[in-house]
Amino acid sequence: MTISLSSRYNLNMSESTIGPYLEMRSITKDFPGVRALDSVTITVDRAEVRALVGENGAGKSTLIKILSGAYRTDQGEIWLESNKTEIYSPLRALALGISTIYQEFNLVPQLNVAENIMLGQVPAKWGVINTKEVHQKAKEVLQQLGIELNTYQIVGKLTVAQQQIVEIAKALARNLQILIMDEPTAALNQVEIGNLFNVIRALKKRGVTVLYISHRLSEIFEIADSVTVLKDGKLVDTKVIQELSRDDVVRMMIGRQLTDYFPPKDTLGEGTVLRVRNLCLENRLFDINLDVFTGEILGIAGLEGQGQVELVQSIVGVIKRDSGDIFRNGNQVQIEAPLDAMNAGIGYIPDDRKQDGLVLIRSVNENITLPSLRNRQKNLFFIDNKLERGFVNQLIDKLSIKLTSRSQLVKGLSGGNQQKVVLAKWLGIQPQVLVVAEPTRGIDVGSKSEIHHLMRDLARQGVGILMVSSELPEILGMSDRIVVMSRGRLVAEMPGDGASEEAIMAAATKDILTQETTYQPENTL
Amino acid sequence: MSNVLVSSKTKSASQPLKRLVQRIRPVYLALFLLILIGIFTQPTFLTLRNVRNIILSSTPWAIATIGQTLALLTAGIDLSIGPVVSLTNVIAAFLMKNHPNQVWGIVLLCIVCGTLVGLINGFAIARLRLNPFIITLATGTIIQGVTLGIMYQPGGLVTEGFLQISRAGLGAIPYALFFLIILYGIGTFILKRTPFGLSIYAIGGNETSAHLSGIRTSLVIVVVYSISGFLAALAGLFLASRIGSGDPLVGDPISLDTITAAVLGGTSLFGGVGDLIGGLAGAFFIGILSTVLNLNNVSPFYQWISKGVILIAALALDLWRQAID
Repeated sequence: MTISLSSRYNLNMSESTIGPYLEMRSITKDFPGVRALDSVTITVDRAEVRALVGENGAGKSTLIKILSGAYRTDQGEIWLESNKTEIYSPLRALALGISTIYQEFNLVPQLNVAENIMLGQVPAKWGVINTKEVHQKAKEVLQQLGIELNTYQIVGKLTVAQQQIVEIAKALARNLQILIMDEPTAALNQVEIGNLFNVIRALKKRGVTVLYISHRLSEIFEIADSVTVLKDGKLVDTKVIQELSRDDVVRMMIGRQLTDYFPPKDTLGEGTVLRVRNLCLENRLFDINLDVFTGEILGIAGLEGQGQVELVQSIVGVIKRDSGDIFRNGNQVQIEAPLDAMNAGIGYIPDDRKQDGLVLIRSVNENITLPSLRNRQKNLFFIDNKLERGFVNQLIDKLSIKLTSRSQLVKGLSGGNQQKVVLAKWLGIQPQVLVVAEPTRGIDVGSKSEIHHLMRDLARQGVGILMVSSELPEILGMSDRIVVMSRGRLVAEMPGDGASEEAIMAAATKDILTQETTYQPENTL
Repeated sequence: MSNVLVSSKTKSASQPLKRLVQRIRPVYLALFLLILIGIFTQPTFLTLRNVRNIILSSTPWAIATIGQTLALLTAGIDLSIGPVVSLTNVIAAFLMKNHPNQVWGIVLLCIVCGTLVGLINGFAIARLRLNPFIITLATGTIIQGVTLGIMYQPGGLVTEGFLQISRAGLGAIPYALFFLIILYGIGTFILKRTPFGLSIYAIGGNETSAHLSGIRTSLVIVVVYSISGFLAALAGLFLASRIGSGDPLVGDPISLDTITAAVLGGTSLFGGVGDLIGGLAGAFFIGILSTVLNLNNVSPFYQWISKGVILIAALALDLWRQAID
């Protein structure tokens, strides 16, 4: 297997001068009511890192699903090494050396690293696995990626970043020619992202072509050789990265100049809508005190995993706090469960919309009405249909959620529209306080801007917003006031105007770098 | 997997078939075919007597299937339904033989017993976070033991008046049919048009999200299993009226049969997808299947085998539908 692979590879090297390695010609794909792709043509060279960008619904996902065999194209052709190729199934794509790294990994959590990498081609003699060879081969593959990782570790116990590397190594162990990565950095921290980029560079050296989908423009400028921009299912352009600026890419994606990334800030109202006093959670949160004023957006910044998520979860009753009082408009409220928070006028938008925010297999209508079902009852028991229809349609209009009908399943919506559904759910209870974690994670710039404007509109109407975000530009652009968290404590507070990324980072890392001398950023995985 | 492959290769030919599978639930098609087979193989199939017979023998299954469907919709399962049917059946026959004047009290006792079992199941699942499969298997096993303790062999007797529950009717139409229609009507309405019903779907689809949306997930789950126990008791009482005596193993196949019926009817084993009416068709499919096989003198061995094969077919169709979606 390996021998035929490398000989084929050498052959390709000599032929690669003839034409591009991968060509997708005039790809068209229709779904009921929507043309997802309209005659899109892209060509990619061997060992090229190509970024695919576009707003949600632009057709990126459809395009890579066609390449990875999950969908079949309605019209158009795929050419690999100047041969016309039919990719009629995911297995066919794998056989051609096209692997896709999705956000959910295809690993067996109970098996160790080596077994996962070599799964399906475990070296065995007389039906007995040669354990030594398994680990040796797995190690070789990891070395090709420039990664040192104990191959005996159980995959389920690895970090997300490490699992991702194992997934890539698994692909590399099987004739990898084209690697497709869909938002690979969504769950990674800065160090891990750096590691991933080193892996991508190693792959590039080995002649692997990478198709890279991301909403994070800074990453694209760091890792990609070229950028293809899609909009509304059509190809806008493909350009070499050196010819582009960030603003160029944004303009191509949304078809207009995005002058204001963030809505203008506003003057604050009087009084606190939410007050938290002496909140503690064993080993995780230490004596947290904070106030959210009427009409204010309070940003909680900090490195990831410093207790921000635990803080908001213990405020809204998802996790039980050890101590701490919560006041609404000056009156103490008992919050032991999410329902209590809701009754106190507090809405909670969790950081993981798929896991916590939505019921993906149910309709938009059902998802939006879920927290406020009892507000539209005809009598003790039944729901008023007419009232509900008006209620849902109004929210869909207000948030301009793009969908085919109210009864469309949420799982079929793009990330941006899904996030708007989560927002609509909570607007429906007319909250006075909105607790938001990572409000725009993994969604396109257009939807991002819309959600930011919606949040600002709410604040203008007097809603107090507590926002956790690990994206510094979002913190700086949205917050009226910023608090910084580090190791379960609030370590700094600053006004939103005049704050800088440097000031926040300094506050966020000071404690960690000076006091805890044992702290070592993980350079190797 | 291979289905996807085949269907994409033979695209033009399978396209109408796909649409058919998406639009019409296989259970209706299967029910229709089964009735056709019945009519063609047995001239007596469409006689009033036989139709009545099919309705009456399917009724306990149809009642119990509602509870099972609700449990499946919350991404749970209720394996104690069969034993509860046996238990209530035996209690009714045992007590009515000795206390024929206390029929109402005995009926109430049976219903309380069934509901209580459901309540315990629900509490264990919602509050103690025990796995529904294991806990209902455990309570079911215990109840089967209790049932055998009360009555080791078929016996007991129900009162003449109680017999009429399954015999009386409006002309030739048994009251049981009206009862089923009303029960399914109410059930469907609750499921589709009340906050409680939508909460069931939301919990089965994503329990965390439902909880974060302020749904009292524990309460809903407790109520769902209590309803399941309550309906299992009703099914056991109806069976007592129909067979006129008690049988400690009468409910034995019902746990699995109700799962088959619900899944045939399009309810997903993973929760969040399905409805009651498909389960009704599934319950009747199972009832008619045994009638057809019995009328054609097919050995019980093959009846078991055919049930298993049908369950597999239903699951395969379920997966295929998901793949198409």
